[in-house]
Amino acid sequence: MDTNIIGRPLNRKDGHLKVTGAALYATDHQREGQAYACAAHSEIASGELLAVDATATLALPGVLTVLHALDAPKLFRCPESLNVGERRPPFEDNRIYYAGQILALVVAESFEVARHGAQLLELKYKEDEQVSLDFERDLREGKIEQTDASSRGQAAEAFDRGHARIDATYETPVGIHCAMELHGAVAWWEEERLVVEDSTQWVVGQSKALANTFGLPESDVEVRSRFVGGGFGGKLFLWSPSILAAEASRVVGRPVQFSLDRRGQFTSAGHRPRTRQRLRLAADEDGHLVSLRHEAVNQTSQVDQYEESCPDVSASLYQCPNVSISQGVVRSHVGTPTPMRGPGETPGLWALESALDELAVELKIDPLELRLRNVAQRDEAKDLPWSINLHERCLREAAARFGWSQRNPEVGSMREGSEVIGWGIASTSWAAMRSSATVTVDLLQSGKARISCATQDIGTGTYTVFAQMVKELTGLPFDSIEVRIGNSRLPTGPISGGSMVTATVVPAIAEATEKAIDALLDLAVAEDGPFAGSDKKSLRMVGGKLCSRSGGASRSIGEVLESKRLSFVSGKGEASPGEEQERYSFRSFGAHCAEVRWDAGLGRLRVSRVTSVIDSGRIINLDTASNQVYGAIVMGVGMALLEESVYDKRTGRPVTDNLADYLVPVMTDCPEIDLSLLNVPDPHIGKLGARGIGEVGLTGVAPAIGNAVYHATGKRIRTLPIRMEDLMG
Amino acid sequence: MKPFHYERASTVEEACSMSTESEESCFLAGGTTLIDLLKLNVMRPAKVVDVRNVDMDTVDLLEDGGILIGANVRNSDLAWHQKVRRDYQALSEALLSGASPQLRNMATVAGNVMQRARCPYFRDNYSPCNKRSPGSGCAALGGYARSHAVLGTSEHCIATHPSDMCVALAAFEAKVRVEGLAGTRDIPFSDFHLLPGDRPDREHAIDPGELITGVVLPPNVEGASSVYLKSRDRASYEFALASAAVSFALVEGRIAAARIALGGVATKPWRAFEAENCLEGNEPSSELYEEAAALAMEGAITQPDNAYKVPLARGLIVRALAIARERVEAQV
Ligand SMILES: Cc1cc2nc3c(=O)[nH]c(=O)nc-3n(C[C@H](O)[C@H](O)[C@H](O)COP(=O)(O)OP(=O)(O)OC[C@H]3O[C@@H](n4cnc5c(N)ncnc54)[C@H](O)[C@@H]3O)c2cc1C
Repeated sequence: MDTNIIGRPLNRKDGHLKVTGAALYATDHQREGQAYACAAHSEIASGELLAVDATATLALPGVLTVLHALDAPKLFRCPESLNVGERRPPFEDNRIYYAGQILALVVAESFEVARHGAQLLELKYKEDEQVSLDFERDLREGKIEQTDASSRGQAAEAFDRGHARIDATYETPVGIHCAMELHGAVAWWEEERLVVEDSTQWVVGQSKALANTFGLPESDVEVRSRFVGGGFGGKLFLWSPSILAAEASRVVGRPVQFSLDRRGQFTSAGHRPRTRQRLRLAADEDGHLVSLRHEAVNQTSQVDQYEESCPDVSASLYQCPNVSISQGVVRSHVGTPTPMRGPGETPGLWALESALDELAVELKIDPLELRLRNVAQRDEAKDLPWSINLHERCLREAAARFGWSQRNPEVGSMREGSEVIGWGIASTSWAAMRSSATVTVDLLQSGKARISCATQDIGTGTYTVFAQMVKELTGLPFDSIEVRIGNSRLPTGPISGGSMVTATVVPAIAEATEKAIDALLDLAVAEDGPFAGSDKKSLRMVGGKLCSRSGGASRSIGEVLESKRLSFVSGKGEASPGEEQERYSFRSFGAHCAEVRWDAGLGRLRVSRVTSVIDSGRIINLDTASNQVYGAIVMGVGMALLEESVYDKRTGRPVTDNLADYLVPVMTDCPEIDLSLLNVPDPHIGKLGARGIGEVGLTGVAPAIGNAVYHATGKRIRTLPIRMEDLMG
Repeated sequence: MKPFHYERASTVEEACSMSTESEESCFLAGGTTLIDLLKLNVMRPAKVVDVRNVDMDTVDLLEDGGILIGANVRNSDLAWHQKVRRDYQALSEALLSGASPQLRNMATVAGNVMQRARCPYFRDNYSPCNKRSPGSGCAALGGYARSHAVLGTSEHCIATHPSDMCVALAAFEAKVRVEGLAGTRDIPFSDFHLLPGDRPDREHAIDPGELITGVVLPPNVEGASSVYLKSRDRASYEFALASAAVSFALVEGRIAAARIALGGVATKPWRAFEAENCLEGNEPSSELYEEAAALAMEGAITQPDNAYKVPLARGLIVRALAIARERVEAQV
């Protein structure tokens, strides 16, 4: 494949629709006769719902019905084999497991009436005495359920013999995805068939889960999600809004729109759970790791056991003979956690990369140098060679671009005016995964191409990357390629999660396109075809037309199809991970260098500069790929310095449950970013060698910033976010 | 949101009489506070009187050299007003440090003066809150109080007054002009906002049916320079965790007409009178600034989450005074 198109920055196919407002997101859809729902959430974190007095609500003109836990048809659970947001469907019983749990739903003629109705509901509770909301207390009391552990070598003994040792505990708070678009849906029934305009990172999974919830055959559920206004993991799995929209629609017999409000996003649609992680590292005189122990615990809900697998990355990122890792959970009266961008590895690397920095200080070795000395030659956890590992190159290039050699290692030694400057470095990493996909490509009589796959574009550029692939192989103009995704009825495609879409789908698109071209060639050389009698091999497709390799007239797709009176020819491509998975370990690597500035007099801590060098295999579109990493770095700034969903310890209610109090970075917080994507094809992951790029940009950002804060201030802050009060005094 | 009657007034008299007709009425200006709180069901007026058509959206120069700012003047227009930028720099800086450009384009001067507390327990509509439902208690005490006040608090309420603009207005000794059916009066800024005491629900010295029509700023002190500094976690679009507006002139090398007002740390826009007295008549020096800053924060009552505000505010005062001095000296 000659790559004219691949790797180039190309404008988004959906860009115009989005900037002109023509792109319709889930709850933008208006159906005839549509009704609106609004939820009432629990004000207590643990107890029972005893009664719902809906008298005032039902008296409001325009209220259609009130559904609640004491009076709702039962919904089914999904099997364990299918991931969902919360296993327990809404209204399953009258128990209250967390503050913010949806207890009732008011359906009305308008959104305003529904909301007023929800505010008028009187919910009577019995509050439990036994409420577990205090993570620290639960940990002290040892209420930990071990979920996972593995080891190699003798970590404890090796630690004791180590020349330099670190034993420290790190914490990360509850993080909220804060997608701009709320979780919401418009649902309606066509006879027995359920249709949902949804916002999901997995149309296929969403329709399976809804089928299970309502006891329907899968073929009777259609989930559409043409545009998604941000997911970050929060929309991977089925959450209650889609269920409740469908349930309300079933009850009132009309299309129903239902969306969480912003506050609801903080309780009822998943979050990155709180973690506490103990790291014990030991190294020899030369700075080689001799022992690594990473023990993590995360908070989970009463209804689900969600594991934030923090230590997994620690087992393979660096070389170390003696490793032991473990993960546990503590049940609490909070909503169910869910993956959030870089799940596990993002909080995990906060701990590991901070601890390495502490070890470097202890050893008096430059933190860059310490990492270089420990780069993993193979994946020791899986005991497999790497497919490719450019970790060392990333570290060296990031340091060079950043100017790391100018760093004075002495704490607080770099100053400018009233600011003290700190420089920090951290590795970043993400396991490169692939799943399976089926794609069809049709070449149409109109001279256009159509590509279909039940995956979705969550804003990452999937529409564009798909069209680019077909353009590359057919030479058709970009505008002549129709991309059909975001519908569960299309050929089964992957979840937009784990940075898998590109790696998964690219080989399938290539195969489907090649097969479609081949089918066209068959027609072209057949009797009464335009190239009758020619050898297929002597023809090729250029600029969307067939022509002979030796020159001469070319024929359009339309002309070829016309000869047989056909509307289109198709090719189908299927790709799934193969035996390469048993022979190699796949991982993306990178390095971040961060510069922070601390002005003690103003209590002002800012990240001024980040340099990132990342290897994520072949880059298909430089713009959409870079865009992922820029966004990830900004998200990392938020994680390091701003974001925390705070719960009131007495009541278990989120306190910072809106975008004025839960702080995400704004434009003025964005550092100057210098990014380099190595763009080296992975030799084994599949055609073109593209791995994903959605998460690798984020995982190491926070520790790079934390390490810079230490370098500036001499304060080692192990609990995120790092706030001015941590550095004052 | 509770349904309400909506009326639109086009004169001050109309606004006042429309609002007097109903006990639970309130005025609508830019709506950036009110609409939020209506939707959250925290404010539940029976009637909303829209005053956006009332003609009070100009900044007028007064004979004494001061200005009269119309109640409906948008925050962004005021911030970029030439006279304000020149003579009342801290006011311009305070306005521009507040909210976001979009909000400043909507928000009015009167609305800003009247904006409500950002305490999460006030806004959540179910926690005990003496401001929202008198006598129910204060959930912020013993709760998450990182953004709460350390000055002017009571055992009934520790909510911070959130405004930036008001801090500068306090420093410039503004007066709030209110008009009612009974007539017009000018309320000195430091009397306008009330301390919570045992009635945190009473926030202003304004009577029901009275409309703010403007804010009067006395002429700028000859030779004085001012500055507004604000501290917060993110670089923009966040309420102050602490802020300081300071202003002074130098007469024969000595500080004159010193003004220090604080935001983000107090239950109302806070004048630090003792700190001002400490500066007055003395030669500027960093020791003096430190001394004034310490006086300003004396008597602070902190919660576990907000003790950092005391050193933070002190640091801001010191820095603001230093910048003000540079500006004063640059004038000559
Ligand atoms: C997300 C967000 C961030 C913000 N950040 C900041 C910040 O950093 N700093 C800051 O200072 N502020 C901030 N604000 C608050 C903002 O400044 C105020 O909401 C705004 O100034 C209110 O003005 P308004 O005209 O919109 O008032 P409205 O919402 O219309 O009214 C507010 C109150 O004033 C009353 N009122 C209005 N006009 C009159 C009148 N003429 N006479 C008597 N009463 C009247 C209303 O009845 C109401 O009670 C923020 C607001 C939001 C939503």
